[in-house]
Amino acid sequence: MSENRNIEELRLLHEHPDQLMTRYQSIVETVVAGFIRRGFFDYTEKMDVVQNVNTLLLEKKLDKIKEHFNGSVYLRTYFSKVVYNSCLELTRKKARQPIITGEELLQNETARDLNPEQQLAIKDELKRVEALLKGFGKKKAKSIFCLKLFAKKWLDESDLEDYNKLGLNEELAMIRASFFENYEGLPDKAAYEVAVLLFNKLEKKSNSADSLRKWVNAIVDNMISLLNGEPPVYHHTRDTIRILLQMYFTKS
Amino acid sequence: MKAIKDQNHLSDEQIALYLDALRADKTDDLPLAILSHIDDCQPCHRQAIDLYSMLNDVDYTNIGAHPTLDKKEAKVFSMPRLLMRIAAAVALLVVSFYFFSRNTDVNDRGDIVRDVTPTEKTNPVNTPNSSEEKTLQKEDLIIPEKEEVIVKDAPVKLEAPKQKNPQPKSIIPIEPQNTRELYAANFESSVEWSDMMNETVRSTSFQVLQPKSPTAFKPNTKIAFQWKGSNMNRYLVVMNNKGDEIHKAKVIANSFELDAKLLPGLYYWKLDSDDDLLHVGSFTVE
Repeated sequence: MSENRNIEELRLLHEHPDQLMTRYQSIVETVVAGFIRRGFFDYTEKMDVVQNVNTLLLEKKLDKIKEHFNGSVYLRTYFSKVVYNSCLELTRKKARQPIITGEELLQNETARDLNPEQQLAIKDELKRVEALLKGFGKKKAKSIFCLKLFAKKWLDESDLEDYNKLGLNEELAMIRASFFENYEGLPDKAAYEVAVLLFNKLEKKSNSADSLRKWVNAIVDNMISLLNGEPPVYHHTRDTIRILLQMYFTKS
Repeated sequence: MKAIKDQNHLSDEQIALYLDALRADKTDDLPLAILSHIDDCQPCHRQAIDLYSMLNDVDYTNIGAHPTLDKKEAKVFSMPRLLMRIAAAVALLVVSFYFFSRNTDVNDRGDIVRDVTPTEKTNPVNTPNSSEEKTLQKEDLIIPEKEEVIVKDAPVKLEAPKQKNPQPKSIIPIEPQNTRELYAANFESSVEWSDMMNETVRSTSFQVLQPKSPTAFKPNTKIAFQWKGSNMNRYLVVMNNKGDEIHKAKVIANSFELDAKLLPGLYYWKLDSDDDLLHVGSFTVE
């Protein structure tokens, strides 16, 4: 294997597409498995779906990749997207309805009473939460801080790293006093009243705790909409998002 | 790369680029068009997060430098060596030129000032024989003997701040701040609270019956608040249009009557529990 697999795979795409297809079978299976975990296909159908995707790729899509791919991303990422599109096409043809899963599954997770498929589904869900959190952009630090408060997750010094050098000693002292140990019993409103002092000082604003609470709730509602999917695959609510975030922050 | 795909969605390559950036924690390096589209377009965002979770099992070892994200980084990294030197030289030239031209202007100006007599300063009337250029110079240098700002209908006389070298342009008439304006200020809506009004409440069974926004009350009348929903501890807070709390009450029933002498103006009210904001509304007293 060479040092740079991406360049090697680009060469295979143009010179030996059959070898590339063989190498990328694991990607096809991985993406199909993702669709199965969301209930778009049955577990028993896996090999049939893989075969159908391969047929679509070999008959038309591989040629289109050769023609259109401009090399601005890793080929395997782009290929994954093409496989994802193929799976979507197949789901539309079959007109299957996905399985709705939600709070019950997540709450059972804490009891460790899940079968391997359910465990994979939760792992999958946590990765989707990770993607959402990573994609917050410039508001990432504030969003994650507030989502930890939403999930009633204890904070520690690592959560204050971005703020320590900014001369916010008084506000940080209040954060430490309020959120560095169990604050499960602290009403949301009281939690936001402490947090908003930090952000107001930081952003030179005078927002109310309600304003911050509304902002956080809007983020959570957007997460619900994105994670539930269209057509809906999950039935997330603010409570299940809270559970998911608790799990994510604990595991990360 | 084409900015946005024809059907107003990201192209496959753009979604792949977003995914690569997520994986590498380099979303800050992405083009703004992709980031804003992801923020605004749920189908594209959904596809991206779906694929991100699926790619968790895809092997990226020895994949090599990223064709876009690492190239950008390499460019930035190499900048100090060559570009920074060029940029520094250009900046130095610009700064030197600026100071050189600024000093020249000041000297010229100083010469003119020395030529102008006090009589010329206090007499703004142009002499018929003076040239246009001369007249302009004089006008620029007219300095009033005394600055005075007259504020009509205001209880306190405002004085203009004293300046060492007052210029004609500094005499900006101050808008009269009369009672009518102060009164009107009480009706200006608050962006923050207006934004929070009518947001979806957490419980669908909760419904406000009165006052519906916008309702106008006469001064010194009792204001009745009423809503439908399960009985629980709630707090009703009335605020003025600046968000200052005017009245706060803990309520258990589904109604409350506010008997307070409210001045004319716009008011916001909110109903919340310990865990959630249930409703934000407004009313006016006229």
